[in-house]
Amino acid sequence: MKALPSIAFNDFSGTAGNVTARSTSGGTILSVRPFPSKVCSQSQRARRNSLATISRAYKQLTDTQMKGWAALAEKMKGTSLFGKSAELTAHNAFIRINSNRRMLGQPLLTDAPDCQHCIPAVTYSGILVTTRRVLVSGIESPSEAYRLAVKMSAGKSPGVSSAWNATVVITPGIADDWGDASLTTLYNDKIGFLPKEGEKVFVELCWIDTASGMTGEPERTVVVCSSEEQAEAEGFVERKQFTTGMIVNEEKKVLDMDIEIPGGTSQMVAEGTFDIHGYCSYFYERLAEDTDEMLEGSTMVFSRASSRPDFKPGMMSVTFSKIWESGRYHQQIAVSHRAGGYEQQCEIFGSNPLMAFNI
Amino acid sequence: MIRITATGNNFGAGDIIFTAFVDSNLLILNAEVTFDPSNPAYRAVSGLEIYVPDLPFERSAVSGMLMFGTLDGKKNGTAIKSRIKDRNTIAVEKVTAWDDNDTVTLVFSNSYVPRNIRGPVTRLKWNIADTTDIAGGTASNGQTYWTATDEWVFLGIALSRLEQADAGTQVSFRIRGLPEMEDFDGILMDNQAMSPSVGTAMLRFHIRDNVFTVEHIHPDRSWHYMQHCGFICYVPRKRVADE
Repeated sequence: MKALPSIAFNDFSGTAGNVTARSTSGGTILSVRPFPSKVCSQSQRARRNSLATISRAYKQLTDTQMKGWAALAEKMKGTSLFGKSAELTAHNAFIRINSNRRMLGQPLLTDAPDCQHCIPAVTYSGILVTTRRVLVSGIESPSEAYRLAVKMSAGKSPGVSSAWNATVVITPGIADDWGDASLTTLYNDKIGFLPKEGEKVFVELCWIDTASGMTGEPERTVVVCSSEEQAEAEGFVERKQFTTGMIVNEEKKVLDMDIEIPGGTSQMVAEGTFDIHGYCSYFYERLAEDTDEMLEGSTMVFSRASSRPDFKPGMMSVTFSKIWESGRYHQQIAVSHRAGGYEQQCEIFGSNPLMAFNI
Repeated sequence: MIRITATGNNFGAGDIIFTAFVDSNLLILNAEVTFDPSNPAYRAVSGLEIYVPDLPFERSAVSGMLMFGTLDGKKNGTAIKSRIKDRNTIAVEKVTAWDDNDTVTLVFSNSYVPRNIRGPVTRLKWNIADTTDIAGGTASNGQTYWTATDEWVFLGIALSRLEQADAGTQVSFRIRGLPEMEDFDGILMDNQAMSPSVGTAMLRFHIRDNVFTVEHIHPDRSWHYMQHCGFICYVPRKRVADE
């Protein structure tokens, strides 16, 4: 049998496997040899692959196209993109613009875009950061081609005066929903947790032009996280909106849903696309997270088969009620075919009065 | 209720006049717009637009309305989407399935509201429609809704069966409890299509002195009934001074 010296029990220096021993006057110190991790996250891998692909694509450009990118890079000197201001080469400009476009799901641009037009500053009425939500509201979108790009920091203690180097991209480009950009889920996904009450959050906002991949000058602001109660006391009113992401949807009957009760209108706006598989021409859904206030009311809207050339129209009721389950009330939403034609794959759309019996 | 006269349209429909209820965050329109789908203006556009004087808000959520094509006197149609595109434009979805018909009719009796208005939820009284004074056949209720403000009555009525007593008699009925309404012409949808099998059959109904009368049901067939048919419409209330 071959005897191997053990660095753990012998007084000498050297490496065995992943363990290194060194002798000092005080004895022998053992340490695990450091290995650089070759494991990268899925998003890191995607980003690196994307940059490599874009970089390779640059080499396929014609001389004229490269000259176009060189001219653009010259114009972009001093122009900040997502807060970065640098001397750019044609290759840098190509990668920067196209990586922005990639993040938005847009194809690569081979011809340099025209950057003569300036991208306006972001106009919004407020940023609300509470222990439960992150919301930019009152956004005035200058064009349907623009998306809102947002960088934010994790919650910082009130004494921190600058954390601009600690902001991360929360979204590379989001379309506002009637002036709102709800960033709660995105913030949770990117940062991992919402800030605590009293913490500072550093926020950078800019428009990104989806056609060119160019971004505007970032707007910087610092928001202090408040409690929901404080936000309400200061006048925040929650939007009465029910979307696909808010329901349990275990059977995946709801492909897409956006139902809203605009304040003071007595109307329910209902838009949805469904696959009501099974034997029934109706379904019930529950909110994944119940709100304090349960909505009760109903309306009837038009429906239509999703298949073509069928176009079979019908009428469906949309009803909000509360149900008692597991010791407490839950918000329930029911959609039911009532008249006209019906197909399992169907959509509803329209706004009609929200009605209730107990008025 | 007021009248809104369109300043034009992009699909060759001629003059369009709406009966309208206008509030700061609610617009209700009533009109039928009939045009020839073979006209070049209609053929050239991908979406229909009606131009109007200033509307009360900049844009609206998607609204639902009906359209139907008429071929050899028979009406088949579907539900389509409409929205306020800007202060001067009402956009209507273009559906080409009935482009070979003699005419296409857009049926406005729908409401437009903006989204994202933060404020208290307000609800109206849900009344069940109970058909009464039925003459000429059968009119059985399904799931029904009606509600009213001082200006308009909303009707979302599903009928489980509507049947003529004989080939020559139209069915008529009242709905118990409805306030006095202006005379009104509406469109009722069947649950089946006439041939060809696209959309569903559409029938006209009239409201005169609060009596609903449905046009002859399938006059060219041996059976004269519909099941699971219904209508959604906004009917102007009769003004107190007129009653």
